[in-house]
Amino acid sequence: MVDQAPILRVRGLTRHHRLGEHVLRALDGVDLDIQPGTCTAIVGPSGSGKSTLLGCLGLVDRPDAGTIELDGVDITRSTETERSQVRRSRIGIVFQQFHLMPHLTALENAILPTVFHVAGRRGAEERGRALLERVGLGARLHHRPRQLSGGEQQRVAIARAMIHTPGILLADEPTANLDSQNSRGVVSLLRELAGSGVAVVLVTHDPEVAADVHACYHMRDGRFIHGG
Amino acid sequence: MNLAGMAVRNLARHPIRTGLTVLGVACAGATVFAILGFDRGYERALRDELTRTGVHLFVSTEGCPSVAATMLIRGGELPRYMTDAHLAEARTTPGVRLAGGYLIATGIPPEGGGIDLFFGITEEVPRLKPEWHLDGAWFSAPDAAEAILGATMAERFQAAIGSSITIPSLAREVRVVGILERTRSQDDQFIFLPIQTAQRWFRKDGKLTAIGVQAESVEQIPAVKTALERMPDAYVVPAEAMSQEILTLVGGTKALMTAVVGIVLVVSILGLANTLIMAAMERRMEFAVLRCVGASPGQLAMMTVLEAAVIALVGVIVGTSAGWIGGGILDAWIRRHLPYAPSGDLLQPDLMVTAMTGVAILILALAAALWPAWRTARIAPLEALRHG
Ligand SMILES: Nc1ncnc2c1ncn2[C@@H]1O[C@H](COP(=O)(O)OP(=O)(O)OP(=O)(O)O)[C@@H](O)[C@H]1O
Ligand SMILES: [Mg+2]
Repeated sequence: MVDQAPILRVRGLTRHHRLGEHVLRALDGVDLDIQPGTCTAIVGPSGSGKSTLLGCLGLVDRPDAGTIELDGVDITRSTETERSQVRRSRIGIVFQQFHLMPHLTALENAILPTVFHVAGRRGAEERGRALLERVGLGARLHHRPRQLSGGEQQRVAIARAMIHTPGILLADEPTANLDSQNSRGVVSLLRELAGSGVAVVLVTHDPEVAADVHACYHMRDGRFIHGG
Repeated sequence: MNLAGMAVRNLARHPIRTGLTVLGVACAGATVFAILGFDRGYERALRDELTRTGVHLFVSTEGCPSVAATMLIRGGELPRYMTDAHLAEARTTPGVRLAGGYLIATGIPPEGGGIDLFFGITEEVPRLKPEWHLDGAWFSAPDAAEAILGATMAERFQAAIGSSITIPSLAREVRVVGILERTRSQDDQFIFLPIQTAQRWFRKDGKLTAIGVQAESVEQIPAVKTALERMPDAYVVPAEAMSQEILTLVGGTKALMTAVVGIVLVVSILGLANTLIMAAMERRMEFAVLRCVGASPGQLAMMTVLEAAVIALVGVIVGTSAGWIGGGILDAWIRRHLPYAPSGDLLQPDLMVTAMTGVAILILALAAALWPAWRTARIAPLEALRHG
């Protein structure tokens, strides 16, 4: 693995849920370094805390303890507006259920983040077209999600996550709702993005996916049991 | 695409729901528009009408013309009278458009019964009585042996236009040249005579009971009053009581209409709030996703506010257009339900009224959007990562 400054540096990340008397340790002291241009997989049984970790990395959830450094800057205790700014410029998120806007076309979905990012609006449409070409949907620009297959929808979602050329792409079980062929397409796309310099972190249940990445972390009860 | 474009696209997803909400706001807009237009129009029309017609000032030797009339009706003599000279002076007073002379007199029929009331009038008087509708003709000359009868009198004498009748209390024969349509005022009880005829028959040559004056404009009334008061023995009484009374009556109608507007506004705004809340609830997941792709809480709140603003804007345009177009129908409707309606346009919609309606509806729409916007802003982005 290339030894350079990590784009993400996580130390002692802890996230607890209080359920009455009981405290559920969804994350229990996770350390993690993510290098640019790498593809990292996080695997583990259901309820082990994978989505919780991804939520903290994507700044959509707040840890109870620990630190997250993005490009060497501690962003753990940033405000909601600052977090939004980071999300709309430096982090892309891909969801298991794709979460495209049903009333917008593939192209409009791809450039959706620029609605909230004035600076990114210039040339957004060209970038959107280029990204959709790149994910193999150049001919489907004006189709709506219901006219696209699951794999195609997920590729639109990846284009959306990439529209502001983020340094980090977080994907929570991006292939769980896809058949194996579509699954392979999406994974190879993610790997290709990693090859172009993006730090890709993906949560997966698929051993085939997990086998073919730069690093794979196994989670159980909110901790990494062994890394690779 | 920007936030506003996004808001429009969101509204377009549910055309029927959005359309109905717009319609509700449009109804509120049209109602506010009509009431504001009426508020301005009615008073202006009334003012115009008072300026155009009617007596603004009474000049008499007594404080109040009705006191003078009462004294006469009881058979008393007025200690003093106005004169033709007063009338001539009033006519040439600056700011006076019309001045008409009245001579009130009574006659007792020999066989008893009620007193006959006579009203000698100059040719200006019909123009000072906008409520008069005269069937027949005006006197052929100021000293003709002719009469115009109030509606009750015409019935009593069973007089037809052009016929001659004998008035017992005067023991004279007059030709009925005109009959007044019923005014539901004292005028129905009067026998009107040409001024000089009345002065001669009642031996009040050159004398008048009162002078009615109409100023060229309502604004000039105070100046005219001051000028007329300089005449010897002249008491000047404004006839504003009438218009004040009308405005009071209209005030009641207006209060009712304001209440209706209030209810319409509350209902339509609740409808809008309901639509916005529903839209926010069913899009929780979408909003969470938007947060994940970079929307700040403020931007999502703004989007909800913009959706409300778009609905309000379209509603206002539809509503005020309907108000402009349907104003005539409404005018006719209001006219039928008002105790007194002047002849000018009751509804005078203008750009000011349109702007005021727009501002009122927009403010209310924003108020309706507050709670949904706050709810929207509070949706956690994390919800998008939950398996739905
Ligand atoms: N808001 C919450 N309140 C209470 N418990 C929560 C909350 N969010 C997550 N948890 C719990 O935290 C633990 C970790 O959840 P998480 O969603 O991260 O698991 P996961 O590894 O992503 O599981 P899966 O593979 O099923 O997606 C689970 O036991 C879950 O029930
Ligand atoms: Mg999960």
